[in-house]
Amino acid sequence: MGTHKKRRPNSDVGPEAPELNVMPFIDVFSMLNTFLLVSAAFLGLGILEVQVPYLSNSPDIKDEPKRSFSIRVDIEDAQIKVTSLWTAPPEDKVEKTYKFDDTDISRLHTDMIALRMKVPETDKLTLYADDTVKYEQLVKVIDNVKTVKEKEPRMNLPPGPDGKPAPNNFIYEKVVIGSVIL
Amino acid sequence: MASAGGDSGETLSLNLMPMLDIFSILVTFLLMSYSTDPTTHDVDSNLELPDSVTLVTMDEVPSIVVNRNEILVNNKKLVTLENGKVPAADLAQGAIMPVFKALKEISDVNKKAIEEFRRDTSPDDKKAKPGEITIEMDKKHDFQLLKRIMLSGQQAEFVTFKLLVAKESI
Repeated sequence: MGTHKKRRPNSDVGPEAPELNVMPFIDVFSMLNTFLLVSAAFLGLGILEVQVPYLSNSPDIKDEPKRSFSIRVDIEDAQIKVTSLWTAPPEDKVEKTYKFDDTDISRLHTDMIALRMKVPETDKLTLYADDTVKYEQLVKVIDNVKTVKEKEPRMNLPPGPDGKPAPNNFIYEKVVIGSVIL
Repeated sequence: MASAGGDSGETLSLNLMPMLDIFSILVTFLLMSYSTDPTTHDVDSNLELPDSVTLVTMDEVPSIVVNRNEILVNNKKLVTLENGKVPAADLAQGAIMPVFKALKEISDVNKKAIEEFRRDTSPDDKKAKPGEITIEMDKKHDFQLLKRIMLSGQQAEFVTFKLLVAKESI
């Protein structure tokens, strides 16, 4: 390095070339590796929050609007059906079906974002599933109707009636599993 | 340093640089994926979690675990599944009786603790709100099984269920 003469370490002439002792490095790296490998989390765990219908005898009754927007998602083995309508006339009922393939699932996700932007006051949807639907399929649907993906722009929603800012990482924050009822 | 003796008198030295390179890369990768999250949980080896894009991180250890063959509540085995289904003897009105009883116990303990905590507040505020519970379940199970578990939870006054999933982005 930087000299024209070749270095000859075993030469009898001249001083010996200095050698870096790498053993302490290896010791430190081994310890660090062991510690990090033991404490590493190779699987990130998350949660999807869902609610079930609940009958309450609570006396406080909120003033519910006479005309509200209702969204119902029906999951079957091969398809997903989304029904949206207003609870009072004009209903403007819209029904759409989607298959369990990547294209349709992505269409479902886009349509749900559009639906929320159209009626931002409604933050709840009800989900019904057939008994034979796999848990994996259910989670996939909940994911696409509830959560804004990491690389997507956040939802820009007006604040709620209580003045609190609406969460921007959810499409529909409240997902109710309507099938769970006696 | 390793050396090999012999008639030739030459000394062989082991080149440790490639090993140091590997260690550096490994340490960098592990430090990048190091989590400082206080809640850690080992997923049951007999189940596979569904993937999800959720950004919400697990905040409590799951109380209900449904692996391929059994249902556990707080690590206590309550039901053995038969081909992914609950035996008829354990069912009552669509709910799973052993699960309901275990969850009711948890709910009662929670309620007492909350009432004790709010002893000095007004009677209306003393009432405990419906609870939350986390479920860890194998992705191949049918919705019917989840529905029965949720129904058992609902009867035991659990209204919010947190479904444990594997985050796709880590």
